[in-house]
Amino acid sequence: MLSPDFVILTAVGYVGLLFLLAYLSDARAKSGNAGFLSSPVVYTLSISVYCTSWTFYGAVGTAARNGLEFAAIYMGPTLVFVGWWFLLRKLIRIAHSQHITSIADFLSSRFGKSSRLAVLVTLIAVVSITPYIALQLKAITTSIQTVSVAKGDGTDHLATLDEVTLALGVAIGMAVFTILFGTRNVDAREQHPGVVAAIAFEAVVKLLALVAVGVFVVFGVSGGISDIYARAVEAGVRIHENEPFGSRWVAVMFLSACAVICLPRQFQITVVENSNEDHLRTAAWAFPSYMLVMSVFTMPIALYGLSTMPAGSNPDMFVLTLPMVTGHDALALFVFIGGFSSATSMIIVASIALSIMVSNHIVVPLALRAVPLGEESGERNIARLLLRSRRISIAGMLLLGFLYFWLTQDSDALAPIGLISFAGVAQILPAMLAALYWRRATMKGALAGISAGFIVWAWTLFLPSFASFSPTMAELVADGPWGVGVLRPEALFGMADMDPLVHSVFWSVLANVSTLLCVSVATSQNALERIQASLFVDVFRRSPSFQPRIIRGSASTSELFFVAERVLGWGRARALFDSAGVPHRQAAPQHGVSADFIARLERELAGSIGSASAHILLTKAVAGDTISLEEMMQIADETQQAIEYSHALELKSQELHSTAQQLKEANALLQDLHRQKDDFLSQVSHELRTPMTSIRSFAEILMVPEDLTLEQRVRFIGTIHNESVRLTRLLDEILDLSALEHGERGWENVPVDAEEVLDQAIAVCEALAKKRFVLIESGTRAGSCFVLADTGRLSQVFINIIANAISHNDSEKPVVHVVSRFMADSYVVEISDNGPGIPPQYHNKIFEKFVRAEPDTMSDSQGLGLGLNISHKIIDKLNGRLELTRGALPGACFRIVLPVCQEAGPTAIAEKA
Amino acid sequence: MPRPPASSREERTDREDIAFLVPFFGVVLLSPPLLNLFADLRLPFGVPFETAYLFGVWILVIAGAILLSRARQFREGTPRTDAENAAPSVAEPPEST
Amino acid sequence: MTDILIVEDEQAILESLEFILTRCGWSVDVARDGEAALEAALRIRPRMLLLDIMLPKRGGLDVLKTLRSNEATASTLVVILTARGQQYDRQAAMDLKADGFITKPYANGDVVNAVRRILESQPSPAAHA
Repeated sequence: MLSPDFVILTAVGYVGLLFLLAYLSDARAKSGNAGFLSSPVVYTLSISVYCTSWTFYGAVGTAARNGLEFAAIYMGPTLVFVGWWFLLRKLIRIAHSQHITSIADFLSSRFGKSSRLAVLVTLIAVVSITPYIALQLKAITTSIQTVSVAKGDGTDHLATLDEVTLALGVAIGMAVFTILFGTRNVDAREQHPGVVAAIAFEAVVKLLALVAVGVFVVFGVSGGISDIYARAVEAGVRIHENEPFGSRWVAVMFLSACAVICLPRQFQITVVENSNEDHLRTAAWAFPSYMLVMSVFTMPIALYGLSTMPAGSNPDMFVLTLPMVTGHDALALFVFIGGFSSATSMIIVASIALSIMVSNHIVVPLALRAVPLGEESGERNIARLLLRSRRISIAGMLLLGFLYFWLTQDSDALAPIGLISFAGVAQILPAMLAALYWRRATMKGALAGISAGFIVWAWTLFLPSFASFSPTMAELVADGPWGVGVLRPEALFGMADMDPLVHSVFWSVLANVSTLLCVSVATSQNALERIQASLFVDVFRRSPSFQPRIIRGSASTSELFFVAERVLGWGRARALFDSAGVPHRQAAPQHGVSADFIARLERELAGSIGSASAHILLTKAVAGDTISLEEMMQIADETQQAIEYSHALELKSQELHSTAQQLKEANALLQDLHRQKDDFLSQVSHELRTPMTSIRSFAEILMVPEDLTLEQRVRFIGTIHNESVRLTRLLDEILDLSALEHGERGWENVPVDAEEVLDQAIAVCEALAKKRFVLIESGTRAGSCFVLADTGRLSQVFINIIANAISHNDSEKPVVHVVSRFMADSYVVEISDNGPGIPPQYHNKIFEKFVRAEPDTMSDSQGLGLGLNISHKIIDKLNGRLELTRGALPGACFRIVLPVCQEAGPTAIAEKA
Repeated sequence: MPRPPASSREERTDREDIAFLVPFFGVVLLSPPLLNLFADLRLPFGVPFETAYLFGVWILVIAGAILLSRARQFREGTPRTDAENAAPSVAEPPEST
Repeated sequence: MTDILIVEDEQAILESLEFILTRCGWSVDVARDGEAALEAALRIRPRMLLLDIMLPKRGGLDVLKTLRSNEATASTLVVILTARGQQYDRQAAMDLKADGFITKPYANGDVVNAVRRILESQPSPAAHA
């Protein structure tokens, strides 16, 4: 048995450990070395602040009473998180871009920075969360009483404490801890890395504790899960659902989905404390997994407890009592610490979130209204005011929680209290969804909807929760106000045969949504609302830097700096002004400030005191020039249009630009081709006209044959014939070239003996050589060598080059030298001559069309200048190279390099043989 | 030729559709009519059928979320702003020759 | 004295022009490239050059330019023969004060008429003598 002293001191020690952890994490984050602290893991663990002591202890109680209904509490959040892409992602994106500090700030900012809405949401949150905090206090005190048994010998000093004193002590302790860590400074983004680290640590502790007791029950004292079910059946415990799943299941699932979005502590952790949008991607599956592990053992523990514990045991405390009855005190203590963790983490985060809301939306606006700005007074340092009001709010929240606990201490189960809270904050959800997706939703609509839902909730669910100890309430619930039956809280308009929770959710959500819709349609938005609506609804359609400038005017920098300093403190205000290049010293009191800077300042201020307060503060500071309504409407419309068109335009202009660039390139290419074609045609026409001229001329001469001798006639006709042959050859060459230029080779490459082809080509050229008295010398030769080629084409190349070498050679003793050899895997032929060679200026373009290096007097050189071009193309298509090089003789030397055909198949050789 | 507007537009639609599947089937499979189908007296694995079914759906939904979170489309380096308001597709420029 | 110097690198064309013009009674001499043409023009002082544009060694337009810049040959009549016939060739020839321009292929009669007309437009140096 554990003594109360020991248990309470353990709890105090645990809080001290948390304090240390939070302190170290804060210090680490401050030094800019957040590391693991800003990881998706810590983010996910901190979200599990959703699982409070209600979950820790109450889930087993719910399972014992209502079967699987406990799982619905987790199913709602699971569905919200796996659908993160649609809702949570948008929430976080907006919160980051608008410097949102709380859920009240979120709605207020969306609906035209309305203070009224912020106050309403804050009040609803306070009223809804108070029972929830009371629930945690109750869980802690009950668990302390359960786990420890006073020895009764007077050695236990703390044993004399009754439940209420204990709860008060816990509340005070929690208030001190939260104040110390939640409100050390007014942070730019309301992020508290130390607190988040402590919460994440507590998340691990409570998970381990619950899993430990689960493993203990399932595998320690029973023989596995099926054994527990079997025993339960033996003991007469019903293991199947009492009632079919129905409206209550749906209602609980709906409420838990609302809660994980709208509970102030969930909004604080999931949205405000989020440091990186991408962490959500991990939390989307990791948080549901966490909840799954938390609830795996719930049903077995409940059933085991029901089967083995004496009748009348409190099922809410089974997780503690099961280890205790078997004498496992250490496990019981660990479980107690787990439950304590889940309660304290909820209290800490909820009270921080609520204190931010209370101070930003209630205290600061009141202070701003009460005291005119611009007077030097130590009392009105807003930053200090904020801290003080937050500390008081935290204490106030815990006090309220304690009072509720005190009032309802005789109430029975934990779970109903939690669901009452859930149903209260669920009233925020319709306005929240409208804020995210319905541009037309107005501030008045949101205000009216939330109010209507809240009133119905208070009437049908909150007030009846007092019925157990207040006779007035009990009477009201039984008979309706003044005996009006149709207004009975749990049977509105006679809807009597319904679960009270479902009844309340149905009527409150109906009232809420229908009021929101009708009032929104019936009223219109003001300019600021329209601007904010488009900023929220279209958050993904806009560049992150876009912010409309709503406040315009001629505030002097000294006034603005005064405002900024009051809220942000001197250091941060100075950093802000310096980074924007705005002077802030007294030296430049009348320096004008851009509207951009005012907008930026407003966002920064909003990060500390909420958007509504920041807006009020700045409109007060920026003297005179409040923008007219019409101008604001215009800005709103322009903003809307700019958002819609700017991206479209940007994309279009990019596309047009790239299209224009491509067209330009294509055009340049076409022009180049066009010019080449013109040149080609011009050359061709020139080359064709020349033989045509002689043919026509001689033909005309021959048309009057009388003047001619026979000898002349024969000679002229011979010339005509020669020129016709030449013309035909030119046409053939042109066609040949055209075919080669248009892609595929018109022949099949087969292994041929290149040496044999070379010999034949030399033989063909001998006749021409003899005529010109040129000697063709064969030097060192490679012998037989197979290459992949077409005999005719290869021969054409050899003949062309040898013929060129012959016909362009005007030396005294003209010689053409032919050698061939192997080089690596190539077959190389070099044909050189001792002629004049190719002038250097032609070296680069000798293989181009119509280039003739030496259009000299030799009348036989009648080529079109296409020969080398054609040869070059042919060799190209044989995967070889034709190049001009330096040979042994003084004249030109052409080198042909062809890859040797590796599989010069025996068949090919055989065929040759 | 790169055509970011068209492709990201398609990708966005795909992405939204895929992302919708998991929560949609979650809601459907956890609706009372389907749950009640399994609320009978059978005991697979020694636990009541409805309990096994509930946890089975839960695991499936989580598995779906894990798959989604690993899919390439859902990784955003920097916040994208163009994806959701891609211009109405203008006439395609001619392919370059 | 020589009336006409034919400057042409194509043997067949040269032969046909020589035959036609000789048959009409003019005295004719020939050159086969640009340098030979300039040398002959200075040496034999023909009244007219029938000058091809595409010539080895020195192009026809270059020859024309040189002729015009030399006082001794500045007034020699020059008729350009070309197979290219593009406008810019004709323009370049006119800018260099060519007296005629004939595009290949031509009718023999056209050449004869053009040569006759141009020769007659300028009084024969022999008449002054």
